Amino acid sequence: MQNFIKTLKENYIYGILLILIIISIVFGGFWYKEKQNHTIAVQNQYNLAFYELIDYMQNVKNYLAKSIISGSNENEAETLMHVWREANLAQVYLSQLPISSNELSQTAKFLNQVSEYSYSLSHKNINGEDLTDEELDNLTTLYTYSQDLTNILNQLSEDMYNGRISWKELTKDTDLSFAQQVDNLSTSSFSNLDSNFGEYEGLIYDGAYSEHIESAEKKGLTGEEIDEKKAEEVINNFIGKNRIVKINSLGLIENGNIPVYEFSVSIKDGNPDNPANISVSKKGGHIVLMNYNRDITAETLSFEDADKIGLEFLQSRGIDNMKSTYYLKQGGAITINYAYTQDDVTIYPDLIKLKLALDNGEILGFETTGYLNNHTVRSINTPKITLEEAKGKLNKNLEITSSGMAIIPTEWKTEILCYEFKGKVDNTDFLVYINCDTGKEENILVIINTPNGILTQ
Amino acid sequence: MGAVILNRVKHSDFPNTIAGVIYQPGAFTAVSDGQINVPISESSTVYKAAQDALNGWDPTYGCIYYFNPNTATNKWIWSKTIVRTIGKHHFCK
Repeated sequence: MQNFIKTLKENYIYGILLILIIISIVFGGFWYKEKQNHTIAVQNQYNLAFYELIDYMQNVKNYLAKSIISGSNENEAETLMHVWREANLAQVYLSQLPISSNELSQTAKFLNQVSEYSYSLSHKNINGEDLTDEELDNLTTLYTYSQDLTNILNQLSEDMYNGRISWKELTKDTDLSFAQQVDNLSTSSFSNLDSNFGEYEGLIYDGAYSEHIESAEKKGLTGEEIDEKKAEEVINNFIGKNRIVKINSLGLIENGNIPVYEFSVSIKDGNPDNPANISVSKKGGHIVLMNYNRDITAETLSFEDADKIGLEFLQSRGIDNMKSTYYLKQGGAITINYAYTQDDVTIYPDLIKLKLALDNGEILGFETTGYLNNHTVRSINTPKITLEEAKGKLNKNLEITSSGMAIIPTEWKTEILCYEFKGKVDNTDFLVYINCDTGKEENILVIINTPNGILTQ
Repeated sequence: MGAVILNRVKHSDFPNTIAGVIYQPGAFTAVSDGQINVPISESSTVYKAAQDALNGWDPTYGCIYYFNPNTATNKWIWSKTIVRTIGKHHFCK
């Protein structure tokens, strides 16, 4: 009896021990999961701050570039206001990074100076005073430094993406400090600054005036309403009946900007797992969007070849008077933006995008939203000021390489007729737009030449 | 999804940068669970789809939301106008 009670007591203790162990395992697991979630959340926060910093830094750089060549006080003031704002925001995000190194305190200082300096200069402009040569020189110096900084940040972001640096390492207080790494990075990125310039922009911008293209009126969407059967016929004509393996209807999409019939189309010799998506507008039976991808191993065609094929393609589909304005090569395919031209005036809102395979010139993509929203034959007024007068409004440092006329869209969904000047300051190319009626400098774009294409900002 | 992100960047209700939209707290589950940090091969279809979105190809026709009707817990999302369905997801405005 005594023995029995003893064993029971012992077992009882084992029982308690067992329960305690189970509890601690459960809590341990719980805590571990909790910690993991936390780490991810913190990392995402750092990533956000870091990428924001890069974005704003790039904006600072580009607005500084514009501020150097701006010809009018009004526009200069506006550009400098942008520099002020973007630099401020860059600072905010810089401050959220878990890093305090010498290199970054320099960055903070730089952003501070840019921000305050551009603010005070913009006020000078608003009051109608011109900037002095010394002030312009200072802006040039700031611009040069902003270029270097952007490059370092881009390099850093690439290293993080490839896993060479992680936030965990950066926050640790080890010998291999962050400052050293940045120093090393800066020396290497300074030396090949020219070749690297502008690589990142390609990710964000798809050519000048590719936005603001939606309009309520849809001037280019002409013709009668069609049914699905007719839409299928449009696709047969567009792709070529002999090249279509299978065509699947995905039905009518009514709630988009333009109501369309959508189809999934398997194309001969194409990727069977990844058919082309093609949509045809209900009104008029226009192709609104076509897109598909396949593996492209050889790049045998140049931009000029692709441009020629693209223009012939457009003409064969009854779209005349188009002119390529921008292009970008990616993964063996080239995307070319075409704008309509009327009496030698480039009409940017009437935009069509083509995607071509660079191995055999096959059309992989076709996008006409801009064209369908805006295209119409315009009555173009005679300019009130001459080309020579417009030239006089330009900054004296701009070395003009070509000039012409263009219609550009505004943020308020209107269009303005402008003289378009292409020119150079040092080694940077610019497009400057002077209003044909008022002589106002409407816009300045920075042209970025990369091995993959021409981009603007 | 790439197109939805870019449409949000242009939309006044959302942050004005790509990173701002992606890392907006609670916006995308792939961000909250850390999936976003898994590297993607350049030859994958996901990569190509992202490039297409950046070049302005928008198969969603201007959508700023998407959800999976089988797993969505938020009733509010059903109040939006559904434009189209791609795979398992509804895309809406």
